[in-house]
Amino acid sequence: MTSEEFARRVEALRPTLHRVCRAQLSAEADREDAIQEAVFRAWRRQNSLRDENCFNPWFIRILINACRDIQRQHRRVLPMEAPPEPPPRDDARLQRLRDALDALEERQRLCLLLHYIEGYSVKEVAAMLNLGESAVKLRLMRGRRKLKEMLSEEVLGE
Amino acid sequence: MIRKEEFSAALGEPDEGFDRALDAALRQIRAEEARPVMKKKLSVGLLVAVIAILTLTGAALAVGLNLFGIFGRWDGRLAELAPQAELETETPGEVETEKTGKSTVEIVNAWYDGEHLIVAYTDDNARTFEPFTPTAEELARMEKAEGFYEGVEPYELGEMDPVQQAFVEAKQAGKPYGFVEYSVFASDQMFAGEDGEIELLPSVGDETTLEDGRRAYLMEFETPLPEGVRDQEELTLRLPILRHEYRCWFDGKDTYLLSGPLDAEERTYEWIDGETHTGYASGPEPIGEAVATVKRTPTETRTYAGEGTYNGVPVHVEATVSAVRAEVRLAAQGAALADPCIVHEHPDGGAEIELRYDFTLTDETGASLRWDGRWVGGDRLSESAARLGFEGVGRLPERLSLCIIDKETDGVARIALTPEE
Repeated sequence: MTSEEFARRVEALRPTLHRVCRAQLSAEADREDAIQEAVFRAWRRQNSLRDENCFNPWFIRILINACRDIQRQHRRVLPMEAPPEPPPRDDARLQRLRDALDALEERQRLCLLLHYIEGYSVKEVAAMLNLGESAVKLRLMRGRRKLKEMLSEEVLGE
Repeated sequence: MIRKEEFSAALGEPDEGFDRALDAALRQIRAEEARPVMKKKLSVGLLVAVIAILTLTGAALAVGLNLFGIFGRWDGRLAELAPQAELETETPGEVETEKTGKSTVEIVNAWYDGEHLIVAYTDDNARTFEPFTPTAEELARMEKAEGFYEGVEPYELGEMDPVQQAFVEAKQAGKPYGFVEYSVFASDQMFAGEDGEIELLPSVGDETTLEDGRRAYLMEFETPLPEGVRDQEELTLRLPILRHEYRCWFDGKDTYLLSGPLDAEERTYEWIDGETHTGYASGPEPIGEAVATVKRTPTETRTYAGEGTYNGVPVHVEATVSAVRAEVRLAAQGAALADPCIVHEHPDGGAEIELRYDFTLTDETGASLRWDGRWVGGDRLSESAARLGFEGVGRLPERLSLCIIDKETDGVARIALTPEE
């Protein structure tokens, strides 16, 4: 794959990549480091992509791992989380949903994002997160249930 | 009913910083397609270099190891500089601790021309792990941590020490377990001057693992170098050796960490949020240093010039080039390079400014000189003159070609530069 083709595919994923970072990292600077690291890693490891049709889940998986590495670095340097950045101003309903999402466990948030928003199948999400399909289904169910409890309404209707 | 569009909106759209970071990474890949490993700009407080695991031939580890040659496998400039990167004198730092045994940190190569400094060094990557169970008093000193060692990939587990693996498995099983890691390693801070009184600020770095398990690092420093380091005939470099330990305990439900020794005094420190905190965590402790001297390498500088047109307006370009650095000056008549910035205004009155132009500079072989991303113009948006900095290719090119790319219009101008008499 040429750099142009690689860049075109990554650029097409831009909003998804931001949401994946946002689901795992609260600080803007960390998200910037994660996406750069993921781009470099993926470019170097192109030979690990056996089927170019699987580029998107393959790249997202690399990004998830880059985010996790940054989380680990923070925990190793000092056992304290940086305070989350203040969210941009918007309406109260959206803010309430954002707070509820932030309150979910990261693994539930990622499963909900990848399945319901990004449209990947349970099987694809399982491959991205290196989980069994039943584990993904369980996280989806628990995540939805928790969101419903916090928001007092059904979520993620089609 | 909350719909998926709202869910998506709650996680936000890509912000300016994210877009810029992604665009910069993709630009770097486009510019360096021929290189299999990228060098990464070091961010303040996060000197985590891009890790490239290399399998090296035994010959590379023979006496006379030249790390510039190794890093030069993916950076032609370093390969060109390798023969000039021998040290004048070198004293490895040899230390011994009860937990990690003997280990050595060694400055192996350096290149210095009075204006630029590149240093390569190794450490033994000395780490040891032991199981650890805290007493109630020790546990009280530890900080609770969320998510530590969760979501470990199978391939990551295979790279871990058996004690770390046992911790991950215990945590997955909900069983109490803990460990302590002891390590000795080279600092990512380097000092110059007879007494090491001048701190050198790293600009970019790279690292790799040698066949024998040692870690090799390459560090390039910000220019201009500090006063007292510039224009010297010889430099003395000092690289601290650090010792660190940290503990991790999972009690079956929660995870606790302590960075530093168990008997550290409680201290107060300012965290990145600006708030003051107290705790027992502490950082690595210096226990020795590696020292080396590097002589100045005489380098030649050549000036190149060329004329071209951009947006129909004549542009004059001059470049001053050495083996490691090129400075390009553009002067346009009228408004050809006007508005070098794209201003993104925020509804709250603030604004983000993005550079409108991208530049590539290549030599007669097609090798790229890497742009440092900086545009040094004036403080007005209507500047028609600018200075740009590029890395060199390790030698003086015969000729150069500057390409100006306008990101707003996708317009491209190529200007040929030839040596001036």
